[in-house]
Amino acid sequence: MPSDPGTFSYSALRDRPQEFIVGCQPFIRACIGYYIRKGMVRLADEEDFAQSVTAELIERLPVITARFREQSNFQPYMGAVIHNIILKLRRGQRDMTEVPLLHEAEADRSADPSVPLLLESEVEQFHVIMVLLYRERHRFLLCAKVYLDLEIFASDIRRALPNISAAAAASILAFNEPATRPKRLDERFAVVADALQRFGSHIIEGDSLRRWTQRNMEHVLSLLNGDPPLSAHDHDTLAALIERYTRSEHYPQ
Amino acid sequence: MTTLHFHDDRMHLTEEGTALYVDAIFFDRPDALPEELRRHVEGCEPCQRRVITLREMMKATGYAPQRPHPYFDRAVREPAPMYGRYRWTAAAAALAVVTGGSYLLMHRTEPLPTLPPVHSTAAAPDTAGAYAPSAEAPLLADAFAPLPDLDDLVQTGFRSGSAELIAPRPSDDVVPPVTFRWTEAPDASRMRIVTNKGKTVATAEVKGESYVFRGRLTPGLYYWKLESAEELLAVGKFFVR
Repeated sequence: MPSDPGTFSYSALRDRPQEFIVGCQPFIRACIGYYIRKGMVRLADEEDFAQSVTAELIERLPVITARFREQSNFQPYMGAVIHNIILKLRRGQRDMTEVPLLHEAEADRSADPSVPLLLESEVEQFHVIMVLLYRERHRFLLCAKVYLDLEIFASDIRRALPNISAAAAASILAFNEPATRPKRLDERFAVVADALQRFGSHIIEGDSLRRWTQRNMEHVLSLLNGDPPLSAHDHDTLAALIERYTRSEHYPQ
Repeated sequence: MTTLHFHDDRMHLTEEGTALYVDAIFFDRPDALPEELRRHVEGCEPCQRRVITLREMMKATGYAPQRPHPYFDRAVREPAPMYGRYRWTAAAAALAVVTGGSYLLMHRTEPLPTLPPVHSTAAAPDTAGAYAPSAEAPLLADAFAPLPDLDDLVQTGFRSGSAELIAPRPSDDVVPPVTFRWTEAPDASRMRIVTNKGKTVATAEVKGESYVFRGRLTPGLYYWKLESAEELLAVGKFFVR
């Protein structure tokens, strides 16, 4: 049951707090439902948890009201507030992580992990992570493709190094040709590092660039898998995600 | 428009800042986010996880963001012009104030008060390396505002560079004495500590892969630069609270 926009609003929070508390109950339930599916709250504890969240919310009403400057939409603001309350309540409990409730499509994937079946939601999640990486995302995508031996597009190079010369770009595109590409990974990273130095104002050795790429791949995998980890993405699925992503609408050529 | 309420004094996203970031993703408008928010989040794993989790949760609750958005669709307001008789009324009132004030000044029988001298805001570091603000202390938040030129160079999890800075990490709060550690920098010979205004408050010759700073630092955001004889190798940052 969706929340009533009349009572689940900033004006209700500010002027009619009792009505607001009643009006936000569906939203609180929906948020708790998300944590139940993630295995962070037990299904059996749903009712008690909802009451605890509500009690905590009532206690924090003055601060929540004062801090909101009406510069974001109200619903995600309350989502962030409730998320923090849930985290606080969980910290005060014993570890109660359960096996998460799988959605049907996730259950199919977990049945055969050797098949990198990618859900659209995971490609979307990867896109969000790339947005968060901001200035580093293009360099990460190029270097991850080099590391994972994926096909490199001219647009990958252009995005990471807008000022690159045609000759330098060609030397990286040559990685796609078995006959012309450098045999060893460190040699390929040396070529990319040289391009970064000459056209990207980055002072870096090939080996350092490889280690940077490894570290950041692990970081992206950690974000994809969640905390606590609910997925089991690895280099294989990361490779599939990058290939799908750089061919998707999120990555116009 | 101020963006101070989107982050705390360590630039971590507040609840409203996290909500704004999530809305930017829903609207596919991350380019419209405040630059300082994006630059902080790109290197801060806890803030990244906050955004990811909130976005997932909002999607799970069936959230459909509404337009107009209070931030992304805000209009830049021009000052409203004054029309009609009210313009003349305001002008007449202003003229009266100026005329009356001039009359009073010309007929004063007491001398005007002397204005206090303007203090210099520059603070010189003492020989022990302690940095202290001037007598006219700036706002505390000002001491934590990032310096864009150096912030760009800060090594975070996504910064590349030959030298790798180990500690302190960019999100760390430190209490002097501070141990600075790095690796992959055999040519490192000097380290500088710089305020968020770009002022060097300490310089030290270094060897090996660590240095302990024992001076005093007042609360604020600081950058540290690792240098060889010829070039800047890496830049880190830390907070003193």
